[in-house]
Amino acid sequence: MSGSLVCVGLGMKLGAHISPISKSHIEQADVVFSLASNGVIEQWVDEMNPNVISLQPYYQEGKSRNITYKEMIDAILQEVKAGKKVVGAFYGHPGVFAFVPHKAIEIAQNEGFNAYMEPGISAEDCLFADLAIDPGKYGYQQYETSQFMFYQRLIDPSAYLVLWQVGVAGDRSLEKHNTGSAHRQILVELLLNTYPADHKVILYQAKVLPTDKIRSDEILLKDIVSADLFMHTTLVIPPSEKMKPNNKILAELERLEEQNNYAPHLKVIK
Amino acid sequence: MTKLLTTLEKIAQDASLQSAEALAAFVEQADLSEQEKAIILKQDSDAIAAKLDVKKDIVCFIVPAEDDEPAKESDEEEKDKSEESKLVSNG
Repeated sequence: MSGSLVCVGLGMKLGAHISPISKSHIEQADVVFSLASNGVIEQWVDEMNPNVISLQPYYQEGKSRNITYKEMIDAILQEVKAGKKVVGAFYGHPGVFAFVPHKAIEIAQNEGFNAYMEPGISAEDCLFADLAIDPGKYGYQQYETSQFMFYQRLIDPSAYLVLWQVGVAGDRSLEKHNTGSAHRQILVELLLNTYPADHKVILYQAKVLPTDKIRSDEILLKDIVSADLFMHTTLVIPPSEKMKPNNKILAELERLEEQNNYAPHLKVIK
Repeated sequence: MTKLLTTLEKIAQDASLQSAEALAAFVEQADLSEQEKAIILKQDSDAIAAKLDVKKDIVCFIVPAEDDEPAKESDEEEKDKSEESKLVSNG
C-alpha cells in the first residue's frame, strides 16, 4: 500500500507552536487537508505546500456536524487510497477533542495503510500557561460542554472543571455555530447543583495570531447566560471547595507503614 | 508567502521580538507598507485578516458531543459481561 496518512498539529499560535517534524510533513506531502482555527493561519498553511485543501467548506450552518465529519474523513481517505502521501494539518493538537483525525487514522490503519499522528501544542497547553493553572495542584476535569450536559457526570468541586466549546453548549442538532441564552441557562442550572451562583469563573481564549490578546475574563457563574461566548471560548471553573482528606485510606497506609517499619510521612488528619 | 504573513511568522517565532520596544523597532524596518506596519503595532488582528482578505473566525469544531459508539450494543455487551461474571462467580 503506497498511500499514507499523517495527522499533524499546527499548534495554537501562528508559526510559534508548530513542531519541526509537523512542518516538514506538511511541506513534503502530496496533498494536505487543513483545518485551522483562523483564516490567517489557514492562509499560512496554504503557502507551505502547493496542494492544500481546506476542510472549511464542509461546514454549513444547519448541516449536522456528524455529516461534516464523515465527509471530511471520506475526502482524506480517498486521497490515501489513491496512493498519495496525505497530511491532515489540524489546529492545536490533532488528537485532542478531534474526532476527524482519530477516525481517519483508525480507518486507514484498518485498511492496511501507514497512518499515525504527530502531536501539537493544544489550547489546553496554552490555557495552563496563560492562566497559570497547574492541573496537578488540585486535579482537573475537562469535558466538551454539550457532552457534559448530555451525560451524567460526577463533578469534583475541589478540582478545576474546564468546559470546551461552551459557545455551542447543549446543541443537540449539531447544526449550530452558536447557541443562545436558553441553552446556557440550562448549563448554569446544572452547574448550580455543585457551585454557588456567585462563584468566579473564567472565560478563556488563547492567542492565535501574535497580535491577538489572551482573553481571560473573570465573571460570576450566574452571568455565563449573558456573556459573549464564541466558538473558541473555553469556560474554566476553579475549585469551590478544599480537597477533603481520605482518612480511611490514610489510616490504612499508616498501618501498612507501621507494619513495615516505615517512617510515616502521612498522618491521619483529625 | 506574503510579506505580511512572513513578518507575523517571524514575530511569533523570534524570542527577541517579544517586547513592545523590540517589536516596534523590527516592524519599523520591515519591508511592509505603512498601513501594514500600523495594524501590526496596533495589534489589530481583524485588520490583518481584512488585509489578507481572509475570514478571521472560521469554524473549527471537530469533536462530536455524543458518544459515536452504538449505545444499545454497548448496553447489551455490558449485560452479557455481567451475566458472564455471575456465572463465573457462581461456578
